[in-house]
Amino acid sequence: MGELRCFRSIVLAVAWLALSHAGRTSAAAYDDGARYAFAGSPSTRSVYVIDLLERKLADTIALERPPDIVAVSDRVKALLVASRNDQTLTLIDLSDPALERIGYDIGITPTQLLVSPPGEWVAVYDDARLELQVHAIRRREMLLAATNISTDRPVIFSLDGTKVYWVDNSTGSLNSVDLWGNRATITLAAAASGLSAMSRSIDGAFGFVSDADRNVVHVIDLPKFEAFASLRVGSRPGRPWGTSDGRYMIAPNTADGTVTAISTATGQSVYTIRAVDEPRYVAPGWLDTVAAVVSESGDVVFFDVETGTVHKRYELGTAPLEGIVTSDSLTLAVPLPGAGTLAIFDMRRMSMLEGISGLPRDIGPVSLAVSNNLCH
Amino acid sequence: MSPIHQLLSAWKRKIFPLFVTAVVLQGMASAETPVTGEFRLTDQDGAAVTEHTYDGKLRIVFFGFTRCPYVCPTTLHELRRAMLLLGEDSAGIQPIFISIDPANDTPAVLSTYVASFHTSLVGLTGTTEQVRAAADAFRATYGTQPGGDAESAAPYHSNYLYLMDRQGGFLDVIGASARSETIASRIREHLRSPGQSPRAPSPDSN
Repeated sequence: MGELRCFRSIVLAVAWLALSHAGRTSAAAYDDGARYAFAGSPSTRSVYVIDLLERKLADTIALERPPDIVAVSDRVKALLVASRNDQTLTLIDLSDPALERIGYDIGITPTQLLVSPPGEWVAVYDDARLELQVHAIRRREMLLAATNISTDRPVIFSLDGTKVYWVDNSTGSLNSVDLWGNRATITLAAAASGLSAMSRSIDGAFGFVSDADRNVVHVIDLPKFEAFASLRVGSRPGRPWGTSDGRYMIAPNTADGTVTAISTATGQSVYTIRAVDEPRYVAPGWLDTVAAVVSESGDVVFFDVETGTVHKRYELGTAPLEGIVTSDSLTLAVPLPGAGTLAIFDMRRMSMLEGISGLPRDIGPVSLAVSNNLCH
Repeated sequence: MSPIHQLLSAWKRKIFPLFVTAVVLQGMASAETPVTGEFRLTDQDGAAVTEHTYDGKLRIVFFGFTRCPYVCPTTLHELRRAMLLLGEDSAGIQPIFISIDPANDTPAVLSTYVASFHTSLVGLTGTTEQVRAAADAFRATYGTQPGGDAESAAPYHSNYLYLMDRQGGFLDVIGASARSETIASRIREHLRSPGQSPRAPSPDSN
């Protein structure tokens, strides 16, 4: 009888383990926010866990609903997943090897998720209802619900997370709302404009918004919420990216294939260099001395941030999504949905390493909680 | 773009579009400037020091300034917690804070500042030239943001933690936004594999 009881206990234990890890290819915690990145695939209803330290696919997390949008918080050790066809926000506990998950109804259908810089809060935006919410992740509590917020660009938090900024291209304005619902607006351009999303200086003091119609980058004093400079850059600039030392903001100029570096010390553009046709984004790395420009078609050009000298050029042969650079500034990861691959670059050597393959063809953007990007 | 490059590009895009590869079209890569980690500075007690002063210990080096309102205290706080997490292993680690604001950060100022974070943290300063040379040896960047008068001007600086080996040679970089658990984990990796970076890049694919 004792042996039977023991056998039954073992069977139950095995069954529990099997159930708790159902839909996964591994069983580990992924709470190192500087190491593990996450990308969703709606077609496979899975989130892919990328180990950027070992440069390999670490795990696959199966979900009930398509993970259209993924965000991650290092502070709360949570992966946040949303589907475009329902109003549930799913939280997955990354500190738990079983990856316990909980979903809760937020009443809107997310089209954007953004974790605040301190990591405690998440902004959720619904572009159909024009509603922005801010939730405390740990408590699953809504802190703010703001309506009539129209934007076709990513929203961005203030450094302390108490404000959210957005660009409204229908009015040519930059807007903010704080957690108490107070709003402010600055008009930067004419209506029906080509403003980019705002980028933030690393100390949170300044905002930078590219204006594709006027070929300038607007500089905003965020505490005063006043625009105080417009810096001439190349043709049709996109969203600026900052070096993590706060020294430069670099704008990709989409129409003329150049990038412009703006010195935050002088408020002047330092150089505009020919880089690559249709530059999509700029990824600064390796101790803030090197940056990569990635084009719409998948060309990658490395240049010296200090001098603007172009060093190396690669062709990926397929359209990339926005990439991420690890917080040690060493590794650039670029998702290539068309190839089911994550291209990996060593930014120190400006060289391409073996990529991470075996990903689905609809892999989404990669989320990394602690990255070298301190300005978005 | 030369005809050969155009042909190559067309081949890759049209004939084999999903074959992800890389082609170095401009091979004029600059020689990689190494992180040598050399310095000749003065510690918080006024003693002259070099990178060899701390031979025998792994070092973790951070550049900043004592008036820094956000990044420096946050990073040094996480570093302090990492040292606590390392427990007895922390005896083999020398944390070093190098000021990029030597005009303000005298040895006396540094002495009070570093003591508020961890007993083993040393604070280094020097002449403007010495500090610049040390920063260059780590490829660290710093300068001054616009701020009106000199007193209110806020320096900017690299946000990285440099992990150096027991002879002062470069091992690894840790992003300053990393938390104490990550810092302690990275240090442990190097304590286990002394003298070699466990994250040395694999050979280039091209």
